[in-house]
Amino acid sequence: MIESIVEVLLRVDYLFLLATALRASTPIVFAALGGIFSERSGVINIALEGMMLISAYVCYKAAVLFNSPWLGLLAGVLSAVVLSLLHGVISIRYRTNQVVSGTVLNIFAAGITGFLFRVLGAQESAPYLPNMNMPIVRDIPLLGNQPLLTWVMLAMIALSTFVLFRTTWGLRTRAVGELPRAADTAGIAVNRMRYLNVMIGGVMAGLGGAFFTLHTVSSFTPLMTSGQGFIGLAAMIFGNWTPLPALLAAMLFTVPQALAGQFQMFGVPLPYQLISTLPYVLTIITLAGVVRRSTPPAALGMPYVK
Amino acid sequence: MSEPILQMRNITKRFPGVLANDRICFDLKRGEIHALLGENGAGKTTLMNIFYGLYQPDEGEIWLNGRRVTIHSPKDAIALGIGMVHQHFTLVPTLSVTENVILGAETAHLGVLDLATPRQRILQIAQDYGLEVDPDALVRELPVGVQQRVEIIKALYRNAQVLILDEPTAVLTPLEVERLFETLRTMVQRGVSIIFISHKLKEVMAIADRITVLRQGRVVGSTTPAEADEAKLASMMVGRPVMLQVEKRPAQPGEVVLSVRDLRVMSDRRAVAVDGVSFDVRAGEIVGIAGVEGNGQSELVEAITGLRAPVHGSVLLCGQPLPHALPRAAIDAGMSHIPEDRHKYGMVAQQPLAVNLTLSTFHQPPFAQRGLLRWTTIREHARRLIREFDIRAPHELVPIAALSGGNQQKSVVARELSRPLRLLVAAQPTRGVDVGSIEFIHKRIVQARDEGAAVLLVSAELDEIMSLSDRILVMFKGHIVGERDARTATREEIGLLMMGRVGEAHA
Repeated sequence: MIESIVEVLLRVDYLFLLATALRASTPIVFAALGGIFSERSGVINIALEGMMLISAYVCYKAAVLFNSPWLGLLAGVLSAVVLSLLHGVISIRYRTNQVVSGTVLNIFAAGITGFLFRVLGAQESAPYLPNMNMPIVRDIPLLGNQPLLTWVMLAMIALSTFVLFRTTWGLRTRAVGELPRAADTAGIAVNRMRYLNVMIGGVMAGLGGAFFTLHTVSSFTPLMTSGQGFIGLAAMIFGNWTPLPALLAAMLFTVPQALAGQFQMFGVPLPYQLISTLPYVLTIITLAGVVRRSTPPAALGMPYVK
Repeated sequence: MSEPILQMRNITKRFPGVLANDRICFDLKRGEIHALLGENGAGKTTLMNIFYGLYQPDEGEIWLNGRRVTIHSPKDAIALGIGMVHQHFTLVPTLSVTENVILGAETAHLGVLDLATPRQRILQIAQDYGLEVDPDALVRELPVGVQQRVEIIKALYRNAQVLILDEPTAVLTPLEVERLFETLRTMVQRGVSIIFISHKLKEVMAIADRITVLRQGRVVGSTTPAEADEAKLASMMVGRPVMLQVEKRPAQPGEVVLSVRDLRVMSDRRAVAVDGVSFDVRAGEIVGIAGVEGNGQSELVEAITGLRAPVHGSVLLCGQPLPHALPRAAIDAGMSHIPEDRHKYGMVAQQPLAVNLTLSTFHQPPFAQRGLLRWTTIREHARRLIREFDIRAPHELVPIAALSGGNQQKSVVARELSRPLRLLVAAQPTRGVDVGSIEFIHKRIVQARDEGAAVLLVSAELDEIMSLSDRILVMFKGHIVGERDARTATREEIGLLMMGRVGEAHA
């Protein structure tokens, strides 16, 4: 078996492998970016999973209904933003424990989408968002012929980094998440900053959710986000609440997964189920072992009371 | 010094159950330092928070530069040229000095930050006022004294004409205080007017042009350093004559209670903090450990009280070695500990006062039986201590966090002195505590000594060491560099030892 693994490793097309992993990283990175905005402003957001799931469902339904992936995308993102606003109201206005709020919203999202799926079904297939397969563009290594949302994800990494570290908005967001009292005495509206950042998180999660139903498969299945929102949070933590490292962290999860696909293709006698647990095992290991080196925003999880 | 730049007229502020400010009148002239003196809870900070827009007054008027103003928020205050350096700094540790200074007053083009221009201005302000600071350093890497400079720069950056400093010296070493005072004098020369809030008499006497004393929400009177002296100010603050000097009889040392032998302790940063320290403390004497903070005193106290395991050496209580890092064993052997940081080691903030008053003995009779707490006894005990130690609390079930700093500290002292004790380890026992409480705590420490306890006192306040101790040990860089009899030692001599200048101190 070892020989066959080595043989596969020699024959693998690594560029293809990376391209696959990059594509698979898309929803994970969106979740991570959503987490970064929310948590940099001081609000724990484990509801990203649920937001992605709702968005995946709404994207699908709206795209079918209007026969337009674009309107589907818009509706899906809006649904995730609504859910994030709810998370904001519960945890900022009513100061409920943010992990509890996130858990409740996750359960709610799983329940409502599962229910609607059963009642309304999901037989028709939704129109896809385009891939980047225009002439010239499709020949760019790694990036050519990737889903539109993968490009959007990469653009969002650049944009998020810029916003967080080069703009007034980013400076204020970081201040609000580290020491809200300092921001308050400097005349910054702490809770307003938090609401808006949590909602930016909703936009990101909405985009991530769209990837499932408007790119990967053209239909919805219950619980189809399968914990990728949580892997996104792991990538966020592993990436120390910064966008580009979060992408690299996400790749750490998706590259082994892509490799597993290759193994299967070449018929290596390694159980696929075992290999597909790899991202989750890696999540556990990073969260348990490497977390020590990263430092969360100091006011994370603490409602601000004047 | 002519026209008042600020006048506060008949300011009244009520909180539920408290009249925090009662028809207070206060004025500030251009280019003066006006000290606002008062005990904790006298209403100084409330008054200044009103001026800074954090609270709204229930009654009264604020006049600034001859115009009546209403200040709804810190934003308004900043726009009016008012700056405030809070007692607890409002700096974000993970941001750079420049980022902290501009926060809320950013220069930006279409939302994109311009850091270069502010950086230049910060350097200029730093140079003008002698506030040396690296604009690119992260705040968390700066010592407290420098962080305070950043706070002041923050106010000057916003063109503050009136600067409020709330207890600015609480966190500073004597040398840093000197430096701060120089800066304040420069600022006054350049036309800034300063309100200096403090409860420290010496400092107020040293820096203020005028002094206004508050007590229980009212103005008691105004004076100048030339007309007043410390004793007069203290009695104005407290409302009765205060003994600034501790009265005590000569010590009558008995048998050795605490023996520290060749103790070696590491700091959190894994550096040697205490290096081969040995000394004895006898029953009926107070041994004071003097030294600039950070010379190993904290680690020494933690090793003695069982909060930190030493890497070498031993701690003996009445000849019996104490096991390392077992606070319960130390308590059971008759050790009491007033910790230097009451918030971290002295109390459970959200728990009721009654619980905090039994923290070290709650598991034993009479407070517990067969694993169950006996609330009646715990509450009775608490009520007794509240009376005996004059703790100002509405009742024994309020969370201790709701009390003022002085009363919290008195509660810790009450708990530690209310059980049979052979050794009292008192670390910074009066830090952040008002004059009245200081006097009281000092009395109780001397009383514990007179009743036969051995007392180890660690303090960064040289005055406290000089007035309380019978014997003084000086710690420098983890070593005991000198021992003096408190009756014959001089401030200068101890001061030199604290700086490690052992040779000169012998003269």
